[in-house]
Amino acid sequence: MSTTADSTATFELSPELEKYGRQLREWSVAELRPRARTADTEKKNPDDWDAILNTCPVPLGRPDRDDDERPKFEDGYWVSQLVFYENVCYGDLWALPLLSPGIGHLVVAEMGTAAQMETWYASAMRGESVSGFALTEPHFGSDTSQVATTAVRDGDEWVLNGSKIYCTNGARADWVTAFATTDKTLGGKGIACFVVPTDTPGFSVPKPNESKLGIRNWMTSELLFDDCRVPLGNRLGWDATGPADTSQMSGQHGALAALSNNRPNMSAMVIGIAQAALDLTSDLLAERRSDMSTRRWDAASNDIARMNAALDRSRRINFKAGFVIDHGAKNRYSPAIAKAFAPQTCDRIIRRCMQLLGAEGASKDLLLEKWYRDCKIADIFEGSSQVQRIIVAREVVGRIAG
Amino acid sequence: MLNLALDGDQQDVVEMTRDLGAAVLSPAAAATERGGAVDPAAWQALCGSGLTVLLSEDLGGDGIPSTVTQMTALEQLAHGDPQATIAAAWSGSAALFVSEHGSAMQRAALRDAAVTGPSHRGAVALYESAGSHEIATTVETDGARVRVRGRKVAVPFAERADTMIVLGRDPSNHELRAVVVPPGQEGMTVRPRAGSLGLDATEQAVVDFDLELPVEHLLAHEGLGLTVARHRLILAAVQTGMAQRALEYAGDYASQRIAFGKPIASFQGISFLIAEAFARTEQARLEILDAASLVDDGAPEDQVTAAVDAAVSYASENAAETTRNAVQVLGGHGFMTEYPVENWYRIAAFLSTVDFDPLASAFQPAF
Repeated sequence: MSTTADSTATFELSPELEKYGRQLREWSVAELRPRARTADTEKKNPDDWDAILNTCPVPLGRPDRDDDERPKFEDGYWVSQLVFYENVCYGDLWALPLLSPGIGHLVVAEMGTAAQMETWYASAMRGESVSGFALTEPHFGSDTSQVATTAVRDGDEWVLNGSKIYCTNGARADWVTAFATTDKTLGGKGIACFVVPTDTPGFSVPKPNESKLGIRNWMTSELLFDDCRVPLGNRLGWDATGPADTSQMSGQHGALAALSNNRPNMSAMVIGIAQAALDLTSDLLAERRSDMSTRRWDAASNDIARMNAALDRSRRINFKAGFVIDHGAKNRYSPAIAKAFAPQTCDRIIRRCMQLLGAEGASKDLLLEKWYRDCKIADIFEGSSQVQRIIVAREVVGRIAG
Repeated sequence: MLNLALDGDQQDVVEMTRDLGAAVLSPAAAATERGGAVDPAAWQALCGSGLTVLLSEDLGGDGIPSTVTQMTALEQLAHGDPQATIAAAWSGSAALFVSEHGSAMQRAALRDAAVTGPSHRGAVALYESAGSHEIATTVETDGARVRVRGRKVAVPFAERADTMIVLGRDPSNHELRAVVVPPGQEGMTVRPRAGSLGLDATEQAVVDFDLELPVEHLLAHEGLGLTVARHRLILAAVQTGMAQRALEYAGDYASQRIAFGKPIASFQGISFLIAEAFARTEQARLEILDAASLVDDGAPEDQVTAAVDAAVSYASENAAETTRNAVQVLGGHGFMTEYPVENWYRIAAFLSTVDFDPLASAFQPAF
């Protein structure tokens, strides 16, 4: 049978991107993994994190440096992001917040004016500033229409009052995108988003980090806005005189849309960790092969093959999600499927790995138990798998799906 | 004749242990977790219940309850605090081995050891890298001496057990053997405790054995398989009591937390998580009951082992998934140590590694 000459579809990455990913992975194993246990125990980054990151042979896109831009690949920006997240997390994920400009700039991209894009989005993309994302409050998570933080106009300023929790990087951001209601009676439609530089009077961080199951060195911060005043033009979609023409989006919609693009990245993060767990387990089991009966060795081998297949499945839907964003044909279901599938699957992979190794697999002598704790967050933040299922269902049957 | 009703005594035990769990164990659970050691008041209450340290009446105990009664009780106690419960039950299980299989001399030693006292700790060294399957530890009798060689994992109170029972197989006939190893015995090497994903209050560690003892340290091996089966069910019962607690906790939270104008329990994405957790937990409970009744009936060892294998595997898978569902229902709060569910999530996964058999289940992705 002849081959179809005009079929160009492939999941193969460009050799340049493939090489970049491989170099990241090797570096992550060599330099990040040995510091993972201490970062977890001490709940902070190593004091010499700057020197550690400097050892990376390829650019990381660090927001704290202006000479460290990530290379551009023909595979596309979002596809490249996925390769970055998976491979940099393969060693361990502790350094990730140091390598990311946050997600606040994505909100600016969804809701901002051209001038706001230039000021905030561009600075984050150039790695000149770190952004925080302040949406969740103690009484709500998924239901963003319940925002109780208020924004009241006072002349040329907006005055913000309220508190936000679970803001990744909140304690080290240069500015945060804070969602607040301008009119409670409007529910979700009354919510707007404001860029608040973290040196603004009235902004404070009462609790830099929570005590958590995993990602213990990541700053998961509580933020307080106490008569916090920002210029009129810091409201996304506005300028110094009032609403600009460019954006009619409600704040609530902007938040969810911004999150959607980052969801595959979070799946790539846990894919990297689960792959690391699986590779480590395969190696340890191979050393034990002579101690195992043939039928148990076969069962374990079958499990490992199934788990590798599940990770490949996670990658394919992730690449589809990245590809469609890169090609301007964005859909809502690809990132939702990606994030509904990978986090739960990766939790199960790491747990199965620990089980295959017996009780020592869950010992702190290994990192599997840390990775099991770290991974869990991926099925909670940026939309749980339950929320993702609703998004997918609405794709099929419309808003009727609840 | 099929009969799934608990008798009057068993109902009293359920009530007593549920109350003890709620009144004593649950309030002390956070202190136990924080300190990495069972809270002393909780320990005393557990040992005083007669349901963790299993001691026959001639040894000063309350008599040995049936396996069904014991597992029913442990499930209720674990509902209060799984960590303290399994620590005390694993510790007390050593007394059961001596009660059931000990010689007059071994029994006299146990009677003098004040095993229900606050500082006494027991240990049954059963599990290995491949769970309780394919035990590689050998117990070899040579005239007046018995030699024990092997490596055990998840040995509770490894550094300080007063009564340590080591399980192995006789290499000549592959039969189960159990040996009482005295504290501080030469040839017993406890690896430094690194800590684990959870359950650090059991003070479990890896222990290497390469030692010789007088043959008087052997326990009688008749019926040993049934006692091992009973010991293994402790883990399943604790997983199931913890799963029940976690799903009730998630259910309460879901009834109070408001989103989109109503309690989140009214959304099927949440209520189905809780329903599936409850359904599986009920099935795990019945599977344990079935296996426990086979132990009590003295059913053939192969049949008992198969039933226990299945019950342990399902109970662990359920507990791991149910505690995960509970974290999901609580969302971000579930990830924070201020709430108990993250600890249950860690304990369930840790326990699921202890007695795992790759032949009993297969990996399943999310969908």
